[in-house]
Amino acid sequence: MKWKKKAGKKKRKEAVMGYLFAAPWLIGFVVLMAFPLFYSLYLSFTNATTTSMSTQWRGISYYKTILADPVFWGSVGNTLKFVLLSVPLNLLFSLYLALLLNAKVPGRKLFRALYYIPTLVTIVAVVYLWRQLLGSSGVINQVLSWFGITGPDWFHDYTWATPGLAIMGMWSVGGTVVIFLSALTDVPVELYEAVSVDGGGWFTKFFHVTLPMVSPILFYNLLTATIAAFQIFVQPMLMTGGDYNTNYLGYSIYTTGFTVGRQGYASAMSWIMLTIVGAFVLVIQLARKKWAFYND
Amino acid sequence: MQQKKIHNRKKRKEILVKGLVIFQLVVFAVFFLFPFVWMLSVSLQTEAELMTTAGFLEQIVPKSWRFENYADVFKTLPFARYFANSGIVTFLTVLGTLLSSSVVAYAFSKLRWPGRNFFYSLMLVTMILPSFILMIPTYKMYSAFGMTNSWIPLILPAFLGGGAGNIILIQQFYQAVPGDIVEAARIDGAGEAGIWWRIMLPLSKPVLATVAVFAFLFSWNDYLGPLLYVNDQRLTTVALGLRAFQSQSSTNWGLLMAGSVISVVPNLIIFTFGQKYFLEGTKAGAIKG
Repeated sequence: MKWKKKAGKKKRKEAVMGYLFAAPWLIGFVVLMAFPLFYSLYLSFTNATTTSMSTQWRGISYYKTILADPVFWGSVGNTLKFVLLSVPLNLLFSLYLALLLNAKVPGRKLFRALYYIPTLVTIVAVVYLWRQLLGSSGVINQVLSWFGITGPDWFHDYTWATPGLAIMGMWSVGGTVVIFLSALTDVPVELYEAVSVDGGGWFTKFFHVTLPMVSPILFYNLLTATIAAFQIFVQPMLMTGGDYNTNYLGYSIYTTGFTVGRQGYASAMSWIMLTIVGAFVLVIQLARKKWAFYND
Repeated sequence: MQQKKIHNRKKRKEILVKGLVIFQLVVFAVFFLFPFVWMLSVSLQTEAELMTTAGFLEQIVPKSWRFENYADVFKTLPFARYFANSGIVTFLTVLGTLLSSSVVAYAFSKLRWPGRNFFYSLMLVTMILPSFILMIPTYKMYSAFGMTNSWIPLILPAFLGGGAGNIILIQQFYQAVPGDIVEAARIDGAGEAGIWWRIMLPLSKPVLATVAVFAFLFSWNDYLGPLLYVNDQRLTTVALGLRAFQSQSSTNWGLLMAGSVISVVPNLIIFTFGQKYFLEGTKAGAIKG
């Protein structure tokens, strides 16, 4: 009895310590996430602005306006174009690089570090750098001209600005490469040997060993890349000013909320955006349940 | 004889494949490194040279070698000030992230408390919440407390958990530390804070190095945060300040690229020291995701 009491006391003490140690995150969660989330929902029903103090209830009228706005849908379409272009491009490119780095060749650690270095550059510098590299007479177009191709003026072109931003994104793919690479190095060598013994080639090895084994990481990268791509905003702001079909959702919300100052309206936009992103996340999660291979 | 032939053919094929892999690795290395070389080259050119030289192969070696561009960066803008500002913000962010994420990781790995599993799941969910939705309400909150146009919004989140990704990275490391060590220390009368400080922290140096590098790069390169919260020239950071070379009537590419080179130097130094830990350690956070 006495022992039980003591154990209970000890347990209680540990519980208190648990909350105490978790407190920084718990506070941060409430103050910087949960509350802002509800606050944002509230704002989306009001005509809040950056400047005025008094706000009026607008109900769902902004949602109706936005959903009937062709400019908004244009922005959605441009965002989807960017996401559907840049996410597969980045994932395939980084998986391919990881496969190369995983081959047992000399200097692979050096290459891995070199591929990572572009991610160290601050975004403003990246944008200004690539504005030059993908300029009308920039490096990329000069290389293309060797093959008789006349490249577009990427960031002053309604068709090519979005692909241009996607290519620019490929330069900073190092983080994803590193994650893929560590998943590849974890694939047991015996599995490849088994395929070899059965007379299978690289095709069998890739599709029946590598791909299933890295599929959890593939889905993880797909998820994070998709969410990140939907939120692209600094790049178009600095590169095109949202022109040339790059008025992506993130950019539209920022300009509406901060440049124009209509924060209620922008909040409603961001909830619609969240719904779209949520639908993508759901599809990815369902696909992961169906196709990702978990060993345990 | 026959066998040797097959063996030779196999070996030759292997060498061929390896050669092909190395060739591609080099090609991609050019793709990743060329922009840097170009940046460095432009940073040493006069405006006139940049305007007149056509063809990037000619551009790649500067003729004017204008090293003054680097001095001019500090003359045309208060770049030294920006640098110091970024240094302070980044230092505090790294400090806050290391302290708070490791404390929280301890609660989620070595302490038992009701709601722990629930909050852990919640933490995983927050990782996929697009931060965009929080931009406007968070801004209004800081604004209501008069904290805009200060560094508080840039630094405070680091002290409040420092990001779910960092917490999980450390938590998974702590999980691998045998519970017996902690239990033995408790029996010896050590408090939880003591165990965290004297046992867990020293053990987790590699993962802390990883988190420190992440926090450093995030903070030093952060553009959106300063864009929203810092309007005052005196508080401007490097990532934000670089913009100014552009917006003034015309772009001075030499200065802009020199400024860019300067801005990336701290990152390169941190990366060089931290890469041993962190190129290996990136995975942990992703595994369970």
